[in-house]
Formats: sequence, structure tokens, C-alpha cells
Amino acid sequence: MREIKYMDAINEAMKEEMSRDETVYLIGEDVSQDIWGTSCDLFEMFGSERVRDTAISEAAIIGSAVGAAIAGYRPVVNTMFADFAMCGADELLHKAAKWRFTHGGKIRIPMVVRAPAGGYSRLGPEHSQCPESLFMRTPGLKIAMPSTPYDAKGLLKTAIRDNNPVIFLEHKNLMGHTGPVPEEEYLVPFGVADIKREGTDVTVVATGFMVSLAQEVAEVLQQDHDVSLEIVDPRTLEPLDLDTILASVRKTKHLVVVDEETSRCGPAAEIGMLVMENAFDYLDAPIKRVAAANYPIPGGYLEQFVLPQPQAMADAVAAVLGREKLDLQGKVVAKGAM
Amino acid sequence: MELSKELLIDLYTTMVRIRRCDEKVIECLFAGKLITFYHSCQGQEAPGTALGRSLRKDDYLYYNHRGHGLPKVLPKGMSPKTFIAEHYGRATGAAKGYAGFHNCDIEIGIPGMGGMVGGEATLAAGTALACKLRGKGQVTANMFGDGATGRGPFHEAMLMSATWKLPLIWCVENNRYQQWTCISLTHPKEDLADFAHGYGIPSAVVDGQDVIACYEALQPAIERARAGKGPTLLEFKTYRFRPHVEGFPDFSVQCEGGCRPEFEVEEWKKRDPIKLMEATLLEKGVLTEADIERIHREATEEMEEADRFSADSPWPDPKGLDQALYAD
Amino acid sequence: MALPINIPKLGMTMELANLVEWKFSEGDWVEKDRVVLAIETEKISWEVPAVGSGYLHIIVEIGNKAKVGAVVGLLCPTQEELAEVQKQLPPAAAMAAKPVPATAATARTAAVPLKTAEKPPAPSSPAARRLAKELNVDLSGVTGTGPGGRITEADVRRFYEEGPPRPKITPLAEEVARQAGLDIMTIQGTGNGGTITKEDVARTLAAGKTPEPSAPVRAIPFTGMRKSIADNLYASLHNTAQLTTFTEVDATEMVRFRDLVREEYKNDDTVRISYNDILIMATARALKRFPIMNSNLVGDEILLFEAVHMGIAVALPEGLIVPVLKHADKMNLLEIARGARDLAHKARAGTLTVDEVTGGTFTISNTSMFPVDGATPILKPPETAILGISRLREKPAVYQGAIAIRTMMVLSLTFDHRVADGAPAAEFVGTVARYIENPSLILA
Repeated sequence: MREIKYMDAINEAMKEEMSRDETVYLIGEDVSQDIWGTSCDLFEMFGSERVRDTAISEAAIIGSAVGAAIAGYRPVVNTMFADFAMCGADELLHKAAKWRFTHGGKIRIPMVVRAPAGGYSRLGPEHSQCPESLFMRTPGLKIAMPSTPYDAKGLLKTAIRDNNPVIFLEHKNLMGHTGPVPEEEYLVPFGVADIKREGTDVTVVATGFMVSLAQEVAEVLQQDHDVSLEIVDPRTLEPLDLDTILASVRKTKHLVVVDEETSRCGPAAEIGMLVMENAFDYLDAPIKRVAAANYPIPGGYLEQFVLPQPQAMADAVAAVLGREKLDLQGKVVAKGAM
Repeated sequence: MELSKELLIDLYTTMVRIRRCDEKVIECLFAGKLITFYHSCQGQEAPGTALGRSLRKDDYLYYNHRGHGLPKVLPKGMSPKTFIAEHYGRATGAAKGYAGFHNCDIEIGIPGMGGMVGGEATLAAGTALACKLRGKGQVTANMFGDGATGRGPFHEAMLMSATWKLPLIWCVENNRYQQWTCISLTHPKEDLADFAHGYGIPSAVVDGQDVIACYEALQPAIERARAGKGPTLLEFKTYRFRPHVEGFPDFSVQCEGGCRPEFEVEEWKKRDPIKLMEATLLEKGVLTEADIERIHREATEEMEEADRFSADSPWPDPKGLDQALYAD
Repeated sequence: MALPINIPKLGMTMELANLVEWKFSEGDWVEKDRVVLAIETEKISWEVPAVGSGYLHIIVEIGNKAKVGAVVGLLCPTQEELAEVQKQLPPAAAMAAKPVPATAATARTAAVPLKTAEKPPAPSSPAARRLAKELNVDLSGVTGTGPGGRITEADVRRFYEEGPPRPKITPLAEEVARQAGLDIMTIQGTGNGGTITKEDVARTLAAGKTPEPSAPVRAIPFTGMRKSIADNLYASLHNTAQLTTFTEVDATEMVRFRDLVREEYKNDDTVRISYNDILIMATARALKRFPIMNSNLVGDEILLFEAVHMGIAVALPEGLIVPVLKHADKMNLLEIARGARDLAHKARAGTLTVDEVTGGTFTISNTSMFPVDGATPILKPPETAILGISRLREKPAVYQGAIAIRTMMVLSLTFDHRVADGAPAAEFVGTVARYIENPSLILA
């Protein structure tokens, strides 16, 4: 199978869906260029009516998407940075998420908010967040978090066709990652987790960029310590494929949840709690989570002390297994560590 | 602009129905039958009536909390039955009982209402964009209070609509008070229509108590929008006769310009839009005293019927929560 | 000043002891030299005498392990001092594993943490508890291997699949039972906490309370004692390179020698020399000349022993047990006779100590009471050789150039060919044979 970059996979999804459905349009600040490289050829192909550069008006960008979606269009918003979406918090967390429900299900809001998320690029506290917990605690939204080019394309196409507001957290650090993507059309369904690596000792639930880090950690743990990790990538946090997570936990009896969001009240807290509620009797050890420390994400050198690091993942694995230390010996380095 | 006799009677009748419905809702609230709160629209019937009666069925109308949209949605075609039933929390309500006071009927171009003052502005811009992209001459109107103009998203949406020449009619009902704080304490100018200058769009200040003036002011704005020439900002000077929300005292600790002095309320009540229209129609000979009595009686009966309908309606089934949350 | 009750060091490798029983209660007066505490290690049961008199204060309760040298109790000369140490060192039950405060009495061992009196239930994971419930497994019997000794699901599954846990049994009782081929699962323990003691083993053996075949007439259950014996024998054959050599011996002189000695000591009831005693002596002496035959193969080392500790297989109605006659090479015939008799009695009475059934360097298996003329005895690892002795039988033989009736017997030596070559084995058994043919050579 051919291998393409994550950003090109996103670009392909946009092109295919915009070609397929003329109600799909892209809107945002400087989206005709897109600093993350996903907009290549879009403006040339679809013009200014469907690739809409706006003023620095996040509320209007997201709010107008809601209004257009209610009126039958399928807008795709790109917020450039996930952090910026918070300027449209009312529009996203209230209007997009709640209006269908508060109007008794009488309207549909088919829209996608693409929010380039994540740190490890030393961009500081307001350009580095993975704010999925904000969205997870907001019923009415769906949340996709692709970790590979394949998932990015398949999930985005599904997101655009979905009749609900979807937060699409594309990770900035993954944009240049390459991976197999078929030439022929495909969709990745929502609510279907993908087991990115099969294993027997510890279930590691990871999302987004954390998946690739966890995969590298898993490789070293297998080689050096004979510890076998099973990496479950939920791919969508809402709907969440809890069954696959539970099945894995029932197999391995141990769970580590890895996410890039701030630890406190983050997805790991939620997933850990769900597993506790639903598979407590299959656990051999308390669940551990690896997430960003409870600080704003510092810029520069200090970033690595807040964002989750590979050795912390290994430490969590060691903790649930009751092992002394599983030293990665620096063999896995997150981008941005010094 | 010469308005037809039928239209004049219709505008008058609609305002009477709105007034009776508003009174009915307050009566039910104090009787403990209405399970939520209520923001009366008495005194502000004219602008919404003129707007609702000016729009096509396939045009979109965003409204605000004043009367919970009553003076806009009733003219746009919503039945008082579903309006009151929603306030009763019944399955037959305009939001199937899910919102209590946010009323929605997308079939007649009423997408709904949110909880943030001015929060509909950005949605209106998007719906107007959809109208423009669809190219079928649809327009979107957003009627909101003076308080909404304090919010950033309103200005973002104004900017977007002006830049993209969206088919949008911005209608601000300036009743001079957000809750109890007077606009003189929050805005540098009394005329909110002046905001339009910065966005380079046409605007007008309209007597919001005169439904005919309201209607006449709206027509060129709607035509302009349909013609793809962009948005217009209309400011309707009006006044609420009752407190911001029922059950709360209608005054402010901010005495200097902050409260609503009794004399001010009394002055404005002399310009009750229904009474003004009534006088006009009697004077023009469009209606007789008997007609007026009949219109009021029918409106009262209609609201009694709506009340009975609501009280007899079933509660919503909580099993529907999932279906309401996500569309298939 | 209070006197400490320490855990004694009972062997070079001993590190920990189980506290089996306090013979007195908290606050009791204990006289010097009275047994105050029973402990056991993997190898031995031991009774700890009081080093002085005093009122007993218990620091470590039974059921716990304590390190060698640990202070597990105190003997206080006065009631006042007892009250004081009870205050300073509250009974372990209330201590919740706090470290021992450094008082005068405990200064030496202050670093040894106290054990709690009531052993807290072993922690178990939710998964373990669920599976235990599903499989109806009592978690109290399961050993945890998870973090902090937590019982994991895998521990429960292993427990379930590998059957119920071995009952608690003293090391001595276990060895006796093993040698008797008795399945310890069939023994009802009466010791502390249901521990099986050597008395329990003896009682079970005496009562013939071995598992009865419950299968149909033609099926013999291959379980219990039979299985245990089979496992041991099979393991021996499976894990060693056994070879048996035979030699026929003219035992006429030995018979005469036996009669001579008997006659000499006919009035001494304490000895009654048997052929077996002479064979032990002859073998022990011969082993001194062939150290390779008096060895154990342990790991990657062949351990040669200076002393000969002679295992003597004793057949009991219930099975076989092999007590060990220590330093047989240093004993004269009378000592051997007394020692062997004593061990045989103890074996039958079930009063052998663990020391008396372990540490053998060589074994003699005497089947002379049976009508067979040779056997291939199976090694008792890690020993290198075992000598089988057949019946004595008069038969025609060539003696001094003529056919004569002689008392003949067959020696069969099984040895581990990994350890010893054929030549030394043959020379060794030949030496034993010459000693039997000429008992006076033993004196040389």
C-alpha cells in the first residue's frame, strides 16, 4: 500500500468530501493556506466560496458554521490551533453541542471543527493544548482523534458525513508522519477502537500522538524487558468504544491510560473511571494514567517536564505490574525533549 | 408605502394575540402551572410582529429571550399551543419539552434560541451564508435586544455579514435596559444603529411602538438582502412594560440612570403599540369597536384553548434523550 | 532488665524461622530453661528455651516469620518492668507494623520491624476476587505474586488448576511421609493451625489410613501413595544414568563371624548383631577407600564426603523409609548394631527426627528377607550409589579347588554413571565382597 503523510491524508479527505458533496465548505482564518499543510490545492479546486478565509473571529467562524449547518450545509471549520477554539466556546460547547438536544432533536447540526492540537513543539501554553476533556464533558459533540494517516483520512471523511458536530483533533506533531493509506475510498467508523499493537501484559489506552509514543515504548519494553503491551486506540473519544477497552483489560488485567490532556479531569480520568465501573473485577492492579502534569504547558525547555514523556509511560507500566523499574534508557524520546 | 387593509388587520390581530398569550403565560406562571421562568414582552409586540409578518416561510428568524421569542415566532407562524406547551414542559411543546422556553420550528424557519444574550448572532451569519450559497433568495433575520450589542460575537458576526454581503437583517430592539442597568451606563451612544457605520452597512432608527413604521422600515432591508446586496441594521426604539423577568422587582440599586423610574414606565405605556394601532385603525375606519372587541375575545379564547391543550398534553418520554442528543 | 528471646541460628543457611507456638501466654512467669517458644524452619522444628526467668512479653505473634537474631519476646524480671515494656512495646497486635522503638531491651535489633500480631489478610486484586468467587476458591490459601504480595487473577487460576494447597506440615513430618510414600493430602494435621506433625504421619501410617482405591475392581488408582512413590522413582531413573553391577559373594565366613559375635554378646540385650550390621560396616569401610562412591551430585558439583552417613532402607508395612546412620565409618560393629536398631525402632514408632532421615551419603537396600537373588536398586538422588543385598543361600560352590556347600549371596550396586566410571564401581563392590568373604579384612 502507498504511504502518505498525515497532512496529505487530511487533504485528501477534504478534497474527496468537497467533491462528493457541494454543501461541504472549509472556513477559518487563513485556511486557504493552512500553516499545517492540509489545504494544498483546495482553494484552487474549490474557490473562495467553499474555501473561506475569515477575519480573526473564532466565535463567528464556529457560530456561523452552526447556523449554516442548521440550514443544511456541512461546514468544516479549521481553528488553526485547538486552543483558539475556546474563543468560540459558546458557539462550540453551547450552540453546536446543545441546540439539537435543547430543541427536542428537531434540527441537525452536521459540522466539523478541525482543531490542530497538541504540544511537543515548544509553542507555549496557548498554542499547545490537547483540550479533549472540554469536549468530552460536553454531550452533543463527537470527538475524533486520529493517530495515523489512515485514521486521519477515514475519520475525517466520516466526520464530514456525520449529522452531528464533530471535533476533529488533528495532532500538529503527526502532520509529517507517514503511513499506509489505500488509494481506493474508505471510511473509518466512529466508536470503533483500533488495537494498534496486540499484547498480553498491560493494556495501554492511548490517543493521538500518544499512540505513536506508546508504540515506541512498547517496542523497547518488549525487547529489553519482555513486557508485552496491548495498545488500544479508541480513535473517537465520543462515541467511545468501551467494549474493546474492557475486552483488552479483561485479557491483560492491567490498565494504563495515556493522553496528552492535563491529567486532572482528563480523558484518562474518565476512561479509568469507566473501566473501574465496568471491569473492576478484572483488574489486578490500580489503574495508572500518564497525562500532562497539572500546569499550563510551559514554552521552551520546561515543556518536557509537563507533557507526558515515554519513561513516564514505562514507569506506569512498571507500577501496575509491580515491577521495580522498566528503564527505557532513553531509547524513546518525545519530540521536544532536550 | 400603502399597506393593505388585510395586512393592517393582521398586524393588529397578531399583536393582540401576542399580548394575550404573554398575559396567559404570566397567569399560568403565577398559578404554578408553568414550570420555568418568563421574560414578558408586553410593550414590545410591534417590531417582532412586523418582522415575522414580513418574512417568507423559508426565511430564517433568530429571536431572543424577550417573551421567549413570542413576538417573533407567533408572527412567523408558530402556534401558541406549542409555545405554551413548551413552557409547561410537555411533549407537544415547540422543543418537545426539552428546553422549557427555547422554541424551535425549523419547518417554518425558526432554528431556536440559546441561553447567551446575543449568542444567536453568529449563527444567524452562518444561516445567512447558507441562504446566500443556496441562491434561492432566502434571507435570515436576527432580532435581539440592546444588551446583545455588548457582546463580541455580535460584532464578529456583523463584520462577517458585512464583509460577505450576507442576506441578513439585523434588528435590535433597544428598550434601553439590559436587566436593570440602563444603556446610558454601558454604551457611549443611545443610537445602536450607529454601529452600522463601522461595518459599512445601511441602518435606520425606527419607532418600535408603531407597527406600521416597523413594517415599512423592514421592507427595504429585506429586499436588499434578497437582492444579495448585504445586511442592514435596524434599531427599533421600544420599551418593556414589565420587569426583566417575572417575579423580580423592576428597579436597580443604580439610581442615577440605572433604574426604571415609574414615571418613565407610565410615559411609555401611553405609547402601547396595540393601543396606537387600534387608534389608527379606528381612525382609518379599517376596524370598528365591535371588530376590536371580537379580536380581543378570539385571542383570549385562543389562549384559553392553548392553555387547556398544554395542560392535557403528555410529558416527554425520557427514553427520547438519546435520540435528541445525536442525529442518526 | 528484660531478657530478650531471640530466634536462634540453627543452621548455616538459616535466615528466617516461623513462629509455631508460644508455650506461655503474655505476662506468664517463665522459668529459666523452660521451653518458651516453638519455631520451625524449612528443615527443622526447634524449641527455644528461656535464657533466664521472667514475665513473658510477646513481641511477635505466632504465624509470623522472624529473622535470625530477632527479638520476638522479652522476659521481664518484675511485673513493673513488664508493664513498662508493654507500654513501650505494645503487643504486636496493636502495633500495625510500626518499627520497634529503640529501647534498651531492643537496641540490638531495633532495625528489625515488628510483625503485626494478626496477620492481615493478603491483599487480592479485584480480578483475583472475582475469579475466586467464580471458581469457589478460598483466597486465604492462595499465595500472592503481584505487587506487594497481592493475589492476582493468575495466582487464583494457578491455585485452581494445580489443586488445593499443600497442607501445612513440619519439615520432619514431610520427610517421613515422603519416605513412607504417604500422600500428605491424606493426613489430618493436629499441630498448630492444623499443621501436620510427625505424630500425625505416624498415626496415619499406623492406622493404615492410606487412600483406598475407589475405582472398579480392575482399575488401580494411580494416585496418592502409589503416585508419590512412582514420581520419586521415575525422577531418579529419569534424571540419572543408572547402572547396576552384580557380584556373587561367598558369605560363609560372614555367617560364621556373625555367629561368633552373637555368641560373645549373647547376654547383652542391647545388641543383636545382624548380617545387615556387618554389611553396613563393610560398606562404610570400603567407601573410605572409594570416596567417589560416597558422594552427592549437586548442581554442577560432585560433593565428596569425608564421613559416611549410611542410609538404611527400612521396610514398614505402609512403605519404605530411609533413616540415616551418621558417621557409620567411625563406628565399631556394636555401635553400628545399636544405632541401626535404634533407627529402625524409631522408624516403626514414627519418632525419627529430621536429622535422622536426611543427610545420607550412601544407601543400603537389604532385601535378604525375600526369596530373590539380586535386584537393581534405584538410586536415591543426590547420592551416587546404592547397594542391594540379596538373600543368603547355601549352594554348591568351588571352594579351595573343590565343590563344597557354601553360603552365597549377590551384591548389586547401582551407581550413577555420570559421577563414577565402571572401574572404580567394580573395584568398590569387589572390595565389599572381599570384606564379606574375609570379615577380618575389615579390621585392616
